[in-house]
Amino acid sequence: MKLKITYHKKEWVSAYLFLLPAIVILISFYIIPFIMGFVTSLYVGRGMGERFGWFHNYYWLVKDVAFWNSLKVTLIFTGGFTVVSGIIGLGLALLLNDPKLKFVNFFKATIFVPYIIALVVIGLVWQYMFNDMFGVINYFLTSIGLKRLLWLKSSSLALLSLIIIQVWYTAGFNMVLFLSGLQALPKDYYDAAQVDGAGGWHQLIYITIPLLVPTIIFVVLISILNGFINVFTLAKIVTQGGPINATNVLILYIYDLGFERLNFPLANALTYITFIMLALFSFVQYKLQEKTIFGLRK
Amino acid sequence: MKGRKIFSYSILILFSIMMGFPFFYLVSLSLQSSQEAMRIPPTFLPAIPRFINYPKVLSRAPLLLYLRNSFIFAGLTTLGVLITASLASYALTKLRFPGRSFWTLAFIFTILLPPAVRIVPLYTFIAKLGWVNTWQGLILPLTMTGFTVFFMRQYLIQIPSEPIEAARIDGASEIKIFLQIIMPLCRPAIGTVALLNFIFRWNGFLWPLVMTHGKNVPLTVGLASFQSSEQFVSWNIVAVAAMFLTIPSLLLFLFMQKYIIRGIAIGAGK
Repeated sequence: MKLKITYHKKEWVSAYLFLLPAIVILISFYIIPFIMGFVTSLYVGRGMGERFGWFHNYYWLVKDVAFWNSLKVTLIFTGGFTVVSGIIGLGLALLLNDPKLKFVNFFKATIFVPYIIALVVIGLVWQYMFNDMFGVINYFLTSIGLKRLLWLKSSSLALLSLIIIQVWYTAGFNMVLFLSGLQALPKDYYDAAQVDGAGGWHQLIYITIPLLVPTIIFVVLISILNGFINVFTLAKIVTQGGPINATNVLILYIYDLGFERLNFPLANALTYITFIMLALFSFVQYKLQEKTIFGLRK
Repeated sequence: MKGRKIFSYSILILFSIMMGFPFFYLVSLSLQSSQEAMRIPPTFLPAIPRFINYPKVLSRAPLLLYLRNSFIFAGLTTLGVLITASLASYALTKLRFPGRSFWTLAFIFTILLPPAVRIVPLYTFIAKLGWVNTWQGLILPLTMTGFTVFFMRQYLIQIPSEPIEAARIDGASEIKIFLQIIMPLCRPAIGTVALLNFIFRWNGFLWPLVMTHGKNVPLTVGLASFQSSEQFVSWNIVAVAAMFLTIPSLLLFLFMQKYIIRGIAIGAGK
């Protein structure tokens, strides 16, 4: 039997009054700009020569070499740091999850601390450390007998440098996420495994990792969102998108199209392409999480 | 067992050093002379710490003004999200009305739309309002975020509804219930949201970069402009300015780390 839900008029009027401030901001600063931006993205030309051009800007971007380059750079950056920082974060969390360990809070805090520092500061410090002349990183390399590298000036190493910085920035954050995931795992599985004589590696691969899938998916999604966004600040401060577009990431390209070249229709079109990609990623995550949740965590 | 412990400690100490080194280096750099900052091999500790660098920088750039702007920006956006998120999450969890799941999803969906993604359409809209380089243009678009609504909602869901029902039967108005029952119960969640949002906006760069200029920029933008300015600014001077930006968030973290780390873990654990 299906029950009909009855709403009390007084209750829902007050509900909408409580929602009002949030809805006003949602409509005026998310929905309206987004609709206006979409309309703008359908125009071509600037100033007096502006005319309606349907999806011309999207078509232009699909043929644009710089767009594909920025997409490639963004995906390499995001994929690279997500995997490395995720594995480091998980490894550190597994170490810290040992109840016999001392100074856990000290280690947690020290390893997490980069995440609360402004990326502008992080970018500047690392730019200085990566400096090929007087930077400490080349100093360490040469003092152990290796060659000095042109970290930020060579197009093959510049993106790697940004990935290294981002891993340093996010590893502690991932560690905290994994640690809270680990601490929520039911203990009885491990007791059973102990009885069956399963060793540490066996427990990790057959119990811990499968049970941790929801946390892993969450970490990946946050990393993708973070990767698309944080990389703007790093690329702008550390490499300025160079050398020769080697670190010209999507958001930096949007910024460049809009605020340097003042081509707002094109910048809006790229905004929509980026947004649709992010929406797709999170849709996939949502679908995955429903299937792999094992009835854990609601 | 002992071997494992030694392994754990050495890895953890190694990572602590790697995470801490750039900070140590930043502090050291801010106390070096310009010659020391450019020397090969690099200087790890200055011969004499030059605290004079700090007042010297203040005479070169209006850092205190930028610092004040950062406080206003981070403070008022935080106040804004607290108001919108606590009011909205009360309705979304404790009141029955048509459209409840629609609005819940709509707010959470905005997590995909941080200022970095909607920078161009949002800027164009603010420019049409004539609000570029004003406080309202900088702050208002950031006074509702999907994350804060989501976070407050997750917290409120687990608060039992019985005291609310009881108060309602006694004839208390919704606003009275909200202020006198819900708000005191939400104090930990409010504190965490306030801390995380404040630090996040304090460090924010892209939105203030396009929205503000001249005397209105927050310290992140002011610091970045050192680098792009025409005349060369020595690295030790940049480091001092970076210290001004880093010390407040570092202090907040030092005293509130339990709440910050727990908040992030709760956000993940749903």
